[in-house]
Amino acid sequence: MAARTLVDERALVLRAQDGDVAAFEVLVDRHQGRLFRIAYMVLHNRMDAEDVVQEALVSSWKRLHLLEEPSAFRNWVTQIASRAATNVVRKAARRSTEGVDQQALEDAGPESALGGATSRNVGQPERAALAGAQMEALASILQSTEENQRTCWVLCEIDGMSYREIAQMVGVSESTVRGRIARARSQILDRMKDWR
Amino acid sequence: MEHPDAHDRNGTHAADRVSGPSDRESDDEATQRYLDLIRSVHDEWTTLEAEGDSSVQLSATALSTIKEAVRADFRHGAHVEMPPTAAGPYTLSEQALRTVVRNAVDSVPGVIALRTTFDHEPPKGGHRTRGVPSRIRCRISAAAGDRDLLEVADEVRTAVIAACREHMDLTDLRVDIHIEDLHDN
Repeated sequence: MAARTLVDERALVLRAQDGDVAAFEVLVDRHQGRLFRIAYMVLHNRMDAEDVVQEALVSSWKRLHLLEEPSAFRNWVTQIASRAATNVVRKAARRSTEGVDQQALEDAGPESALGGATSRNVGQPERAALAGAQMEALASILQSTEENQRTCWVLCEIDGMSYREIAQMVGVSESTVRGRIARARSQILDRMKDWR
Repeated sequence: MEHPDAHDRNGTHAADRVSGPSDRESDDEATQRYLDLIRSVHDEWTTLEAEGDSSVQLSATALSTIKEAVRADFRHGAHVEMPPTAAGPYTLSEQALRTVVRNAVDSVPGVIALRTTFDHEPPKGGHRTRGVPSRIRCRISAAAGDRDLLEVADEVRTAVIAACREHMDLTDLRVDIHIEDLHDN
């Protein structure tokens, strides 16, 4: 199948816009892990992150004809997913004046939020615990940052986007993005001191 | 530089405002730990994802749900009128039409179909269908090499016209080929 052998993302997007489902499935396979990482770091909840990525990818298929520049697919689908994740955070904050149950997050074991021990981890408990601990620690700390700061920080530090790309995606100036990321980073550094 | 035994007007010791060597070391250490953590998390996620570890990506169920939803949406697309047969008028899904054209383009060696657009005659049926296709514009990528691109375009055009005639009895059709990209074979 031609789509499966295509490496060039722009060609895949054009074929998907033409209605080639197989080409879109390649795009899904290619981006789902990255989008899940962003959503998980923003939400710190596996189920919510899965829902967000699912909705974002299905929505991107339905709106794909609106994407004028196929090579912009990566940032475009990231924008859809990150906005959806931010909306989930805002809705949760509105539902509860207590917001995220910080204590519950901090009490959660390192294996729980990422779906528990995997078959690969069974033979390597030390590595699995270390990986879980690092990811969990970072995701947990992030919950204490304001949601706009958190999203900018995740897009920058986790997804590797530039300030300019984030500014375009979030709809604010580059200096605002820089400020948000700096504040999030400062909070993370402060919280890291508490670990000792 | 920290002034020895310095207090400001508010009685705050200068060490609270100005970083001394030990503070700077502490800050440097904290920054290094921060950078190490970020790097470590990246490495771990990348490794786990490359190994197909289910804990750092969508579950198989979630992936399957996405693909099912896309295929269901695909099946519910618009319909296009075709030349009537002896059994009467009929329509074809736009996606089926696109698939026929895409397969025809892909059948030419070294050519990859990208995106195709259609012009239609005014529909004779309801407003929810599109009329008979009158013009097809195929955007394609051709293998970079020594083949003459005009020949490649002609070959693609011939393949598309033949497929449309064979599968849909579309005969009065203009087909434009636009070589938009070159790729390594």
